[in-house]
Amino acid sequence: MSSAIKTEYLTINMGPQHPSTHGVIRFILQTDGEIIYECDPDVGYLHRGIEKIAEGISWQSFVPYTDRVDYVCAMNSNLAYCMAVEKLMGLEIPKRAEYIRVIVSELNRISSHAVAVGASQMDMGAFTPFVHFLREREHINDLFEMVCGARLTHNYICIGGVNADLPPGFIEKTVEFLDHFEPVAEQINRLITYNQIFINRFANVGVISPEKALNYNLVGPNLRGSGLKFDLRKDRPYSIYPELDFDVPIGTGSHGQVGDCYDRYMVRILEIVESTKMIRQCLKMLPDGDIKAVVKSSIKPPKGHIYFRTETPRGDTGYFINSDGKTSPQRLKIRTGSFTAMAIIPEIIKGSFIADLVALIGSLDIVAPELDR
Amino acid sequence: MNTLEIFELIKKNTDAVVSFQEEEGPTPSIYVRSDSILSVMNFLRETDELDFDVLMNQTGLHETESSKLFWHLFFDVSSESETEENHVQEEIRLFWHLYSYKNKHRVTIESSVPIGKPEIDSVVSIWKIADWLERETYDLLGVIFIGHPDLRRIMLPEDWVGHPLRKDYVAPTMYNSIDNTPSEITKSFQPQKGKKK
Repeated sequence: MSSAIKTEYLTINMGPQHPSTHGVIRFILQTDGEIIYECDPDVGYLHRGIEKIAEGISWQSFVPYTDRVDYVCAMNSNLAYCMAVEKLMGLEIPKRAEYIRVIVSELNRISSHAVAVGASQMDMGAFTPFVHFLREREHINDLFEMVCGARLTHNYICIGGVNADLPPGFIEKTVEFLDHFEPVAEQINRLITYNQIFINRFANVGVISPEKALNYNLVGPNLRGSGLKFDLRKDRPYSIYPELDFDVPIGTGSHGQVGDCYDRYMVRILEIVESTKMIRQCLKMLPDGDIKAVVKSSIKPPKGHIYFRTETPRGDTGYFINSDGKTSPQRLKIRTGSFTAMAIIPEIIKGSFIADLVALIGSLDIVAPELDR
Repeated sequence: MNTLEIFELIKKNTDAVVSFQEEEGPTPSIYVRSDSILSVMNFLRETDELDFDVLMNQTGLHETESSKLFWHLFFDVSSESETEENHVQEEIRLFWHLYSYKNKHRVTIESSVPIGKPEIDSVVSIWKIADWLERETYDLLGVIFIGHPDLRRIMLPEDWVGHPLRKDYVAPTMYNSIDNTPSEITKSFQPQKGKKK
């Protein structure tokens, strides 16, 4: 007597216009009821061929394109490219420019992390904290507008230094913002981070073990969320980071296991605090002097290749550049943090609920344009 | 451990054909002939004192004839391609950037495949991330990774023709009945032919 109910897997299309997939990302899910049995990410909707464009334009004119690689943290993207080219050329840049670069990129890290944690809360159904974070981000955008005239895609950091000196009043405005922001960050934490419903949605979900994280080359806050203490700013220091005093927060499994969504979320919250510390130190130590090294209008870096990594909010962004001594790169490849974070999803999500996939994407902080380039 | 020490270690312990190359650029690299790439990678991963646990990046570039076939000066790579009728003029250079979180050192491995037969062993069995990185290299440069479990396009649609990052790639004027020829306004912004240089 066989009365077994026949079940079959159901294929569900999630995206590309799903509200909680950050940007245009598509998943093809094989589900058994509400449990994901197989997940196939379909990326490339925002592929603009930036790497191909780089081969046809001059070295300097590629800087505005790096803004568009990751528009949530455009300053850090500028910095990643410019530092790679400077290393290739062996260019020394003035001390003041280094400090300004670190100040603006740490400000941008705060705003990027604010969007990341705000958006992941919104994915979980908590809309209000997101609005609070966006309000704080507006202050940072105002500061950037003071510095370079643009709010999102800056084109501020250039090869050899920065494009403009800090305007009068910027330092006071930044200190004012930091004084205002530090208590606000704690208020927002009280609003959502310690909320039991939120913790239940995030803790013990999407656990990534350190071995898996390394095998899939997770980077940045996602790697640190898995309990590995590695930060390029500390372990392979560049720019003026060795002179600054800051901690590297890692996931501790405070409400679940080490490496779950809540750990990755918490690492970002703590990094915001570290960034504010760094900006305060930089503002105190800011020296006088030039803001740009002498760079020709048409540069030709020597032949050779380089792979240079910098710590951006979404992990380390690696620029592979091959120069054949001409006025444009022979080959340029951008290895971004979102790319590796996306690659790990099919492995982690098997056997979880569809709602957990939303939590996982939010906590990994995937930004689609950076993923597809 | 720097690249030179790693190179000596590979040379001593494996029978792979390798050479150390300190270029004018800031990154020295180790050149490995394409047929021994998997054994070298296995050696780099398994040896305790090296222990490269992370593949940071895998990429490639299309070297055209104009920018000379660099490695042919050092190796007799032509012996295998001479059997084919047309002698290989161009090649695809491939790069693997490895890092060891345990020992805090890095290395760049380089290899090359002829453009007529762009095939090389996949390293997915060693690092899982190679799955997506190799799919991207296949998609944009047309390198076929032997032993890859699921080698299909990743960035471009599956019915796309050609591999855009090759230097001889010509962008299609029509794709799925979408016209891609530039309008008069767009043309007015483009550099004039012949005016350049």
